[in-house]
Amino acid sequence: MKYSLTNESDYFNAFIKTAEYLATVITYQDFWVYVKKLIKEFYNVDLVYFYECRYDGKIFKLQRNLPNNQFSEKIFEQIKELLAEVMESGFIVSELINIPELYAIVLLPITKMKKIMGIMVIGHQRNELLPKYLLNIYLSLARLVSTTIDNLYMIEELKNHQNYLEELVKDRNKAVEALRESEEKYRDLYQEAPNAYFSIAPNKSILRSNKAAESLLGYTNEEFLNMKVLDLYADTEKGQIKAREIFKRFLKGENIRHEELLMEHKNGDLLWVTVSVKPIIDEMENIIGSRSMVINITERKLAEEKLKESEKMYREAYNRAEFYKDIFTHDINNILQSMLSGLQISEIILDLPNKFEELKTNVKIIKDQVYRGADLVSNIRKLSQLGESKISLKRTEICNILKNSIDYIKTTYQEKKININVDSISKQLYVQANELIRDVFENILINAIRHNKSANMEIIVKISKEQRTSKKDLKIEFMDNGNGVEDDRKKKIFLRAYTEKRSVHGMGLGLSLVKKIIDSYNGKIWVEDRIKGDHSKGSNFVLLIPEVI
Amino acid sequence: MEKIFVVEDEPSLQFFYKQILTLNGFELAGIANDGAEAVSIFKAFSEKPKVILMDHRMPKKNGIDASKEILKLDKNVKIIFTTADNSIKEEAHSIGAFSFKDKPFTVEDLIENINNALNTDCFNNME
Repeated sequence: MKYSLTNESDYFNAFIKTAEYLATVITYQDFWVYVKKLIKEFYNVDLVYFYECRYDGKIFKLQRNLPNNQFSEKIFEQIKELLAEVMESGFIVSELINIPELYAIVLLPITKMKKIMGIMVIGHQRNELLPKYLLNIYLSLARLVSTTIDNLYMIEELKNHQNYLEELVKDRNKAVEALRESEEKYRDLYQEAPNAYFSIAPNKSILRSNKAAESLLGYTNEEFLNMKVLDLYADTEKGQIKAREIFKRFLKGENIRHEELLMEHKNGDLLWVTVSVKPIIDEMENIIGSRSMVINITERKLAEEKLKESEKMYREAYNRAEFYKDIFTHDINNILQSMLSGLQISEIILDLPNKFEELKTNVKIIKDQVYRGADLVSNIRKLSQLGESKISLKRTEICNILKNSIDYIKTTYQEKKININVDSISKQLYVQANELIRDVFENILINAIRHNKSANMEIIVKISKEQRTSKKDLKIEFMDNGNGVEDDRKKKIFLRAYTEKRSVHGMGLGLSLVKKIIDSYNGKIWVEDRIKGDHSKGSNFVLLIPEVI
Repeated sequence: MEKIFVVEDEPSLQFFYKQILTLNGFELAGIANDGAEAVSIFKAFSEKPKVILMDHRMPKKNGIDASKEILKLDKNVKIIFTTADNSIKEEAHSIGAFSFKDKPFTVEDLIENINNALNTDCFNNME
């Protein structure tokens, strides 16, 4: 319905209503139609037009979609100069126009973000200019419309921003999704990789592991998370000790590649692996973790060890063969030389007078050489057994064996003046050994006699106890008053058997056999001067053999 | 009577060499038990022996090293290697040994070698 406005207060009320309605507008759509409708409804006007200035300066009526009629064309013709003037100045213009009735019109600038964007023309059919109060109300109305346009513009901008942000969020979501898919693929690759992967923190905690790591070491991923990296390694030099060194290098930022280490499976099995470690460094240059790859090389390592073992066995067999060849070409030939020379000389002197004593001596020497040869063959056989098979050890009582050995020596060398005394802490003592212990005692005693120029040969055998690291040993010392052993030969005399340097002059094969036997008992043997610093006063052969109670 | 010096650590062979040499008209100049003793005894001889019977594997100093030192003292002495270690035959030849007898050898063979050494100006009779 159209209001009938008669005074200033009516127009003021109309303005209030217009303001209330415009406050609810939230879209540009049909804005000008709506405003025109409000003005026509509340202000009882006879004409309302809106004009805007195009970018090229041309002014045209808004709502171009509405068909122009003669009346609006006439008005435009009458006011187009005024429109241009208002557009330029920004001031309102109040005029009377004749089309042909008289109309009092007012041209009101409409702004958008403080710039004139158009002109609102309101007219009343009357023959005098509009009163000042009404011009003020219309000016306020124009400002209200401008403010509404600004609000709508702001709303539009906000919507644009919102759309832009929504697009950004969509793009970001797409990127997040792509990243998630990529991470999933990476996780699949990581989890399904044939090699074991770990991520280790600088405090040695295990941060992450894959399925191959679980199957390699037998722990679940959850169990790994409660472990420290060193727990994965065997308690050996090639295990935890080497792993600790590698961890220090990792903490210094070093890239570690293909280090061979010994790990321990949950079930206790040992595994040879190669470990490669790459430090992960943050933007502050701090190491925050590692990417560690572990490859199981146990099969390769075992094959290598078997090959080494086989090479070692071959080398030992070769050395043994060379050693036996050396025995036959040297020791046996020396014995044969003595026997041949002795026999040939004896043949010659057999027919000579007064040579009976000499002949007897020759026969005795030849007989000794036969025994020497027999001893040599016996020792070679024992050495061969020691080299080719595992020795079984048992609890062995040594005092009685020593007594038997001494009796045998006294019988064998009954023409010599030999005094052998035993000084033992007990009459029954046991060691971890076997029947070859008798060969040890007899070889040492025979050496003490063979290499002794004294008329009265003195041998003291002293048996005591000694603590060697964690083990308790029996210490057996054979002290003689023989020729002694010079310092530079003290080690060589035990070395003849199975060494690559064969042209070593020792005391025959006996001491090599003795050392081999003592080694097989996990014992020790060495020779000292009986009187320290004077080897010519005789030797002290010292044995340490693990005691058993 | 020609003097022969014996360097041998095996007592039984020392004993038999002494008999062989005496029975065949030679004089035993001395016996050394090892290479080091051989060098010091040789130095001490007022009249140097013309022939040395030299073993190789001996304590303290071996036959090759002892021979090198002795030949420096007297380049005319004839050294006959009497050893069971035939791996040093080439080396014995290269240092100037007169001959090399591989054990076991006969008495006749040894005497023939000694006579060859005494009756020739040649310094090498290696086979």
